Amino acid sequence: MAGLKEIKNKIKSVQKTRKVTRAMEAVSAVKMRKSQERARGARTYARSALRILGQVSHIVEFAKHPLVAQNTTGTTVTILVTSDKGLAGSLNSAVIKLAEKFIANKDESKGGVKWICIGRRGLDWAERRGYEVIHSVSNVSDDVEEVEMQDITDMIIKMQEQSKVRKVNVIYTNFKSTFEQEAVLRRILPLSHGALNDIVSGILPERGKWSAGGNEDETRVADYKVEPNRNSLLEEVLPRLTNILVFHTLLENKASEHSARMVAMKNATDKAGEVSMLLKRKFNKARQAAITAEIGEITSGLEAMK
Amino acid sequence: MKTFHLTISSVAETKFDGDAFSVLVPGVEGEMEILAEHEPMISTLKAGTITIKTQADKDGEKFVIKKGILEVANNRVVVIV
Repeated sequence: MAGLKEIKNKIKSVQKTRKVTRAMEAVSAVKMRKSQERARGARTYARSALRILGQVSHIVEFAKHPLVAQNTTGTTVTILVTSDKGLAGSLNSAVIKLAEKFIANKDESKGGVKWICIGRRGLDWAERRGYEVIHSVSNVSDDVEEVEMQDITDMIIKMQEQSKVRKVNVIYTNFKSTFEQEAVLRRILPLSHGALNDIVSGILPERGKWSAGGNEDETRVADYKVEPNRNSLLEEVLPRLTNILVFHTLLENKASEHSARMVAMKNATDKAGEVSMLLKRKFNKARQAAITAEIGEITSGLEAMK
Repeated sequence: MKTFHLTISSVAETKFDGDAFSVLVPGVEGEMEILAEHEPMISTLKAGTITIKTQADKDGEKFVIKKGILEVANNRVVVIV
């Protein structure tokens, strides 16, 4: 028979754990609401940017721009977006799994892969495996601003312009709903309307308050008047859009991270409650058994005295 | 007076979304005022103030921007800042 005291201690420790996970759940819930709102609120912005890129892509000079050019030499750069902290269910492992699959695919990772890591989890993974990490950012706050991603954007733009990269991909977690997040791989450079469309449409839920509500008519207006001139417009617009893309994946990831953590913590809290209930039952049984044994001893003692 | 649909959005929020009859923007080559039925145009904007005039607000609502991109097509103006 397990000692009563041992069971009692165990119950206490489980209940303490439950308190911690409960607190974490509450914290994540608040952060989740904020980051989801943020990811969704940026929708109009992303859509507008997409529309403009769509129109710009009809300009003749578009195809000749270095950010659009398909390089056939160089490496593949992949931006790995993960969270800094764990305890978020399968969020980071899903992203890393996708990254491993990506490396295994020789067509995709031709010319070698270099990594840019946003978030500590991904960085730890890449370093442990001995992969080449050219840049990393960690401890990105939830209120991250667009300019904070400028370093990374400048870097990939420079590499693309010098034909050092074939492709720049990003692996991040796409936020679908509080209970559903999905690790995805998307191409950022060379820029194309399709790739951008994928990322932007990914940010929209399929239904509900924030859904797209039907596509806007994409009337092609061939002869745009462009100010100041076409080349300098592309110079200005394309790097900006690239940055928006990088930034968006981060927003998505933040929303996913907090949602995943909240759900994971909720499960942990529920499970701790269940375990503590089972332990209590065990404790009561043990207690009852001890009492029964004692009574047995007393009565048999009495019998013996007769 | 004729109006057009204007959307001004930043990453954080949609700053303006509605009908206006005039918008004054700081284009890279000087300020320009855009009215309804403007020809299709894409332009970059420099730091300055955007002034929007609507039916309700004739004096104009003002936003300060650091940079931006403007697109005009089909009587719709989109500004991302």
